Amino acid sequence: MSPNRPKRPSPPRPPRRRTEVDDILGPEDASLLDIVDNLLNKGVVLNGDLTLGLARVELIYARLSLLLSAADRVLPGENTEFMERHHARHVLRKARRRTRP
Amino acid sequence: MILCVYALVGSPRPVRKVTGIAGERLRGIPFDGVVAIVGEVRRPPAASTRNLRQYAASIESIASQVPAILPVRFGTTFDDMTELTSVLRARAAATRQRLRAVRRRTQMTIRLVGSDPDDGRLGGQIPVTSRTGVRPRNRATQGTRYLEQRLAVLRRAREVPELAPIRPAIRRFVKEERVERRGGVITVHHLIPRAMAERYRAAVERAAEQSRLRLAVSGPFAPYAFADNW
Amino acid sequence: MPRAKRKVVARRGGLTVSELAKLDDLRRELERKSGSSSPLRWNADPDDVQRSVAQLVLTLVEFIRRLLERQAIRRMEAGTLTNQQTEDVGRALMKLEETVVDIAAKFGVLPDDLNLELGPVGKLM
Repeated sequence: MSPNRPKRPSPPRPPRRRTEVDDILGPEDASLLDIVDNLLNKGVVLNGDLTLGLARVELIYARLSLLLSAADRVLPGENTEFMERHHARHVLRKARRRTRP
Repeated sequence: MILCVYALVGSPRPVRKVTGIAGERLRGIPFDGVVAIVGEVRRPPAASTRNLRQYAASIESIASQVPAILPVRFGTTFDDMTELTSVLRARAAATRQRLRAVRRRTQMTIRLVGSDPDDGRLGGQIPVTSRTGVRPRNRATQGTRYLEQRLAVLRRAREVPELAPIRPAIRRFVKEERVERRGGVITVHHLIPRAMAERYRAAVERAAEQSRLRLAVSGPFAPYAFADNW
Repeated sequence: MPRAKRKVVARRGGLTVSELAKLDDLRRELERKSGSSSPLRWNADPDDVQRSVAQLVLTLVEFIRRLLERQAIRRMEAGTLTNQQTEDVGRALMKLEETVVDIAAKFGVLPDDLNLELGPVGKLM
């Protein structure tokens, strides 16, 4: 995604200082639990892998892309509440009766 | 080459100068109001200490450039754009909702040593039992009683009575909370406004000292624990 | 505009030695259980294929049952289920759980065996 620009001549590199990455990660011993917990145990899960086999022979590789979402979020237009749907239909019927000649 | 997904963000502005675990330049690909930050790698990354630290650094670098970020589980790769597109499109609405929830917020983590959840055998965030073993005599309300019992188990699991002494001091910061009991450790993640991280930490430490509660507080992090709805 | 450097700091000074050791144990447990990026393997034991298949099938059923249960509880809490729906869904979940446990027992599968780890996804349940 980088635009096509002619490179500016770069100045001579200074000796390596503490970078922002070093500051962000902080003391070694303290941060590893957080990193492991956050990266391996949390975060958005988009897919998973599974191999299936018989008698120690691997036969099938399955890539599972998880599309799990609550129905009431996937279908925002649909009202899942029974009483409300019933009421909505009732209102619609009434409106139709009114417009009939 | 395969695609490694690092995070989902909402901002269409290009993410600048972030490199991934293989030193690759990361770029943003838009899908329905959600932008996936991806890098091209040769193979799925191994969970080595070096790779994990690098991934974490990439995430924090992205987080510093956008108001809302949902970190993706480490090692998430896709063979091609088609698969990635269909997965992200299907989740676009839910993703946008989560991005709104974490906007301008950050994660702080408190850990204390404590008991595991009361039904013993599990680890992880969601209490797993089902063997409630109680069959109420009134058959007409069996189903309702079952669900109410399950709800009670969930509520108990969400509670952390151990933290009660410090809750008043931090209540005003906490937007969302996630609790996990595992391996004898209670982990509490709090989603707080980004600007409040130091104030939160000071409040936790002061209150903990006053109530002689021994705990460890860490952060701020990108909102890993608040990235998925489940 | 200069960007403020944010430091990630973990303060564990207040914990005792044994408490710090517990944190280390937790880290190792997390690494062990979810660190592998290679796919999860299900490989039917040739001497007991029936039991292996039953374990896989029942795990998937139980996974779906728990998802449904979680969502039902959420809807009940939010008040978007009628009383009748709550009763019907609750009873169905209860019966389904009994069925899974009964069938599992018939194949010698313990409730604790009804689990799968899906590589980077971690434990299914």
